[in-house]
Amino acid sequence: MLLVKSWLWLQGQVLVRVEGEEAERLLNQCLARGIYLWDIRRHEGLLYFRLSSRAFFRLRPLVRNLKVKVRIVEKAGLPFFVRTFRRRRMLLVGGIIFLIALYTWSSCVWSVQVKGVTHAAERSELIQLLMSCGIRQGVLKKNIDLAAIEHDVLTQFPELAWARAYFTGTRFVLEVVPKLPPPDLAKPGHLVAKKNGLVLDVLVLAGKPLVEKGSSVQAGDVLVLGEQGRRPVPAKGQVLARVWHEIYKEGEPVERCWLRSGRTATARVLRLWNRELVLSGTREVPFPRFESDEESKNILPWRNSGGPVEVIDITYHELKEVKRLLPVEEYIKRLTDQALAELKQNLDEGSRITKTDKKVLSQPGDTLVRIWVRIEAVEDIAMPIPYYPQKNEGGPAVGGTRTNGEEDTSN
Amino acid sequence: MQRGVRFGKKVAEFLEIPQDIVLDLSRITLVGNIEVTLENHRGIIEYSSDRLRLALPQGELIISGEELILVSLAQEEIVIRGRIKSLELV
Repeated sequence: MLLVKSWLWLQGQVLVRVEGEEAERLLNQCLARGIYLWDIRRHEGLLYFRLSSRAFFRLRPLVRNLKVKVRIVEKAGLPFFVRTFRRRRMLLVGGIIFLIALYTWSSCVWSVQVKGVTHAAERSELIQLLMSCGIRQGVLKKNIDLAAIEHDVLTQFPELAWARAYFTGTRFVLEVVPKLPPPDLAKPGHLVAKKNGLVLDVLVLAGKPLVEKGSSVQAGDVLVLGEQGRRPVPAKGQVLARVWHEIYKEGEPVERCWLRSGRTATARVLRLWNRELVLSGTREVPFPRFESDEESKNILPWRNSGGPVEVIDITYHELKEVKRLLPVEEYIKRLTDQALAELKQNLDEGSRITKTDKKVLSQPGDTLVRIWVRIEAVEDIAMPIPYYPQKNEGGPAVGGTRTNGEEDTSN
Repeated sequence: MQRGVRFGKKVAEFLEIPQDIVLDLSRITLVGNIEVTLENHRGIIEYSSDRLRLALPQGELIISGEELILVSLAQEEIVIRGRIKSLELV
């Protein structure tokens, strides 16, 4: 139908008004001569219909023989459209100028964006580089060599790992990713304790050990000094220690769950792709908390469900909170499991739990259950920390800060 | 009924051919109360926005309703739209 309509529009069509007693006879004569008419309607005693402009000329001899008056009310379609432009040349010229302007201006760069840079200084440097590459407002997009710009940016900014230049519409976008400084393993450093503990075993690969089996250490203590003779080295090794972790937990031995209260509401929903249209039933769910059941009614029964168009019956069930008292024993077990799980999260990989202590602090009649759990584990507590040895003093300074940059004097 | 028509009807029933083709009858399709399609007609007798009389090969079809529009008028079929209230075969 759309195809027919558009063909009729291309041919040009006229809306005709017929006045007179013999309007129906005109219709019949058109039928007999194969003149196609459409959109025939009566309005205030007059007959209106549409026909193609070519057919209108075949209508004229028929009209002469009948007692009717025929008038053109409206002309539509491509031929009349073209005629309008022929009469109003400047309108056409304006339209063409508009299209040309739109085309030329949309092939220029109108804004520049730099993505992925946090420092304002670096951003302005990058923008300056882009300016020197010829990117500024009003420059033609096709004159810009994106690959060359990417290359220039990467060569002039060695701290960038990746750069990509592209256009979105009239905007030039440069996206960059800075390099992450690599962990400098060759720099001198100590091994310090991560946690408090009792040293069980010390294995030193490089550096001078300061602790031995049986020493008690605090977090932050230097375990292995980054020094070999008087030469600073990165200390390496393993310090196994017995470490204790403890945790206190409390809670009410009550389980909350949401159950259906029995009140329901229904709605019928038409789903088109991702949009939902409520056909009947509740628009807003009248319950603060609810579950819903969906039943899909296929409109197209020969298709499997899950097509883009579905009608769904939704039933909303109201949920009410229900409290249930738990047996204290069971609750204690649950709390303990939680506590152990939390404690184990703090352990490094490769650690071994050697002992677990548990104490129930609450009395059997209390509303709150309170427990205390401690685990004993054997862990490697050594952690490398770089330091910057001072040249004039011989001894390595303990607890240097980790920085990367100009103030590094270690080489 | 004429003799030829009766014979044609028998033949059509025996061969299970649609009777409108054999007997030169009209086919009237009604879509709810909004559209009527009429195939095989003999023209328009009278047309106003609430009443439409159409000539059939045998007899006449009178459509009453409101805001009746002839959406398409061609030799082989007529499409009528509007609020259709009654169809009468005379």
